Amino acid sequence: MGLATIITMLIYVAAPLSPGFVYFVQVLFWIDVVLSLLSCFAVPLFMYITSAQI
Amino acid sequence: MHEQSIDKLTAVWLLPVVPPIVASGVGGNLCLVIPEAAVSSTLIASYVSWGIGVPFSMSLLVLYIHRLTVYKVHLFLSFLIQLPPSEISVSAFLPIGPLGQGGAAIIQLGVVARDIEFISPQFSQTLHGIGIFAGLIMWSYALLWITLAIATMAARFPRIPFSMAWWGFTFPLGILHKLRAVNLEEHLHYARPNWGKS
Repeated sequence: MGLATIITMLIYVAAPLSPGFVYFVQVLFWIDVVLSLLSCFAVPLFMYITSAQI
Repeated sequence: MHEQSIDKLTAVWLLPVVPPIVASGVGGNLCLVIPEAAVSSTLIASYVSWGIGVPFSMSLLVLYIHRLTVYKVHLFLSFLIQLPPSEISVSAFLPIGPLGQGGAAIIQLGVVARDIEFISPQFSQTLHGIGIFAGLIMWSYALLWITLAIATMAARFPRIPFSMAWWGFTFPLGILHKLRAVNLEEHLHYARPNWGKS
């Protein structure tokens, strides 16, 4: 979520300055998507595995 | 090892689920500045993130309300029985986060879909309409949760020691205000009372 805040700031402040920043922000966005989905899947999965009575 | 149980559940369980919703909101903003060729993939990724995060957070909200109501927590009657511990009572505001951010994101994604005529003009108009409707519904649901959160705070007040959980005052309330003041107000065009002005 912290990265998302940084990306949002970059979209409004840095992206209009140069096309290079636009590509940079795009890369950050995809990293953010991967990390966020990882946290969304991994944490509940970890809780599920560690609490399962097998 | 930390043992999970439903009577110890707090809104902090929402924290790993909120990032995809936030990412979808960022994707909606990003679509405004990136080349047109990249907008569709970003839009789809944002919708997918939203589709994973929002239903999952709704599922956790069901568990949370179950915990609050079934496990001897009566906010308005017996204040001090199994409420979230004082240190994390501010976490009662956290359910507002996914609702506010989810509403703001789905409205923004609908706007982008309409602007680029995603798939077809009719379909993109439908996405835009669904976005506004879903945003309004999620804002309404957030009103319920903000009431519960205020009741929790009132029950604990003034014994609420400062902790990192106080960040719960910032993001959820800020994004809920943004959803109402920016996203919904811009699209619903409702007439605001003109108090104090002639």
